[in-house]
Amino acid sequence: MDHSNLKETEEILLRLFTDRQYLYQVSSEGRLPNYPNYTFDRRGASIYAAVLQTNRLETMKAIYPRTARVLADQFERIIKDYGLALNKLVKSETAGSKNFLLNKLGFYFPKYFQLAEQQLSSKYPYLQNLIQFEAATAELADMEEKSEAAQTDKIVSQTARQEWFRVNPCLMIFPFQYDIAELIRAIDESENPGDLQFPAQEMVMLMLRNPSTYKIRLLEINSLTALLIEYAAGGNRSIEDLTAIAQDHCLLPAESLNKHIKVLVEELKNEFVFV
Amino acid sequence: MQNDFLSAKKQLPFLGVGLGLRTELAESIFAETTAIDFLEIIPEQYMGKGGESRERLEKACSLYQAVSHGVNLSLGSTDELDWSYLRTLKQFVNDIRAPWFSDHVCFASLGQVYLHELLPVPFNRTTIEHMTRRIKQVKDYIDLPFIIENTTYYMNVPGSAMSEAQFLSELIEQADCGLLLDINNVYVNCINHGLDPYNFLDQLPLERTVQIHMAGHKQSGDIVLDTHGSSIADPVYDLLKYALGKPGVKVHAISIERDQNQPAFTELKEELAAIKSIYKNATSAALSVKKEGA
Repeated sequence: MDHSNLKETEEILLRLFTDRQYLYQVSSEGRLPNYPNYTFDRRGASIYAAVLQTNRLETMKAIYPRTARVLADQFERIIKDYGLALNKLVKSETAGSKNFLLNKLGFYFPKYFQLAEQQLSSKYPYLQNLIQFEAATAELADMEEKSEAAQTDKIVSQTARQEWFRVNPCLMIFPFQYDIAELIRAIDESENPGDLQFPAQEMVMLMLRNPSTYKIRLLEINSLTALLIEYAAGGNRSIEDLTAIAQDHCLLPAESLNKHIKVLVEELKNEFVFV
Repeated sequence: MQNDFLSAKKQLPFLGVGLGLRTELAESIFAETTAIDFLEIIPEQYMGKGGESRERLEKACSLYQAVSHGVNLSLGSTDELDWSYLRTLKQFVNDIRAPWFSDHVCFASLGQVYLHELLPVPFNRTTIEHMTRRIKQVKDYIDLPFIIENTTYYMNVPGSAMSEAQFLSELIEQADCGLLLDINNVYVNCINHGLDPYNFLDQLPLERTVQIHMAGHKQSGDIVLDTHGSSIADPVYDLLKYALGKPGVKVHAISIERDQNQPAFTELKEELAAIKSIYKNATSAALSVKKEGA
């Protein structure tokens, strides 16, 4: 069945509701091309234009609240431009977030901001880290707890299970170029966060969701710990497994390294990195 | 006229008077199980999610019967149906053991971009045929009774060639699905477009009404907006009484939608009680009429 007219109608409506210049042009002319008998409903179109923009803006403020505060009045303009670019962005990405809401709007924003807002990226060089942090926070907050390692638990004997551990499935590791914990604190405490400046500081940060309280936590870790955690995420692991990996990156003798790894594993269990 | 749906409708349970589950209301909802008969859940807020959202959903379903009311099926869109969404939705409605599921007469996405708003479709036969095909695909896949909601529209859409009432009637009959009658939307549309809401209701196939929505609106200049952010207005209660009193109307659930500007929970409880009273009077009157006619 040919629904090309319906498609055309929907495309025109979408353009009216998202492209202010087109809405203004059609409003001035008072008619739509291809619809000679139609009296243009300027008020109705304006209502939808306002509602769509408000919905997008409020949704993005909910996902990126601190970014919105830093960018202040400019955030609305950025979101409007982002909305216009979404068509191309959606088609360019093959995989999105599993979080339904984040996937449908917020997922493409980190990459978009980096490519399209280079002037602002230069003015606020820490913003890319902040946007990445906020996207990860939204992702982690709603992440499902499934992990491949959990699937294999059944085949592990009771005794062996006591000695093995697995990585919290709701966990992400990022290299940041700014002290993200300090960034968040300063932005939250400031009335004019757009005036803040931060020194560059390379660090590896682990973000995880506490399995009991569901709160998102930040931990600074070193690159070897990051490596061990990434290895451990591949399945149920033992201390001996981690010691073997660490030996390739460390000059300590095996026995001494094993003791250090035991202490590290306990610390990471206390922090809910290992569960 | 197809009547598979009407046969299936006879088997649907009566759920009573309920409330839309919203995060800000969750604590009160979990504490006040006597005032609320069932919950309406927006699947997009819980699908594919763990953590606190999952915990809230599990608690809600342990305390209440639930129905699913989606916002992203985008039945009117000329995009292909989103089968990834449908697979997740099917799992969701099965998990919450919903007796039926619903979505809206609108388009909410185009070019794979979700618009986060229910946008109007042109009221014409092309749209009816297009949406009928999609509704049948959705019904067959999810394999659960499906009902569609009449939405507000603030703009006369180009290409429309019939009234909203005629469009809805033909669509629901051709697609052989049920109706989620949003009484507030009926009121808002009729006020905004200069129509008589009682006459509007007379034109709908109300015997296909499974669920009714009640909500608040807001006057903004000379237009009324469906905000779901204020208490239910008296004219909307009057329309509810009218709809429930129509011959052949057997409703299985009535729910309040309150999305923003949340009041004290006592106010929502008063609205629930008011709706229960209207329903009780309407069904008593219907029984009396039946007895007199018997």
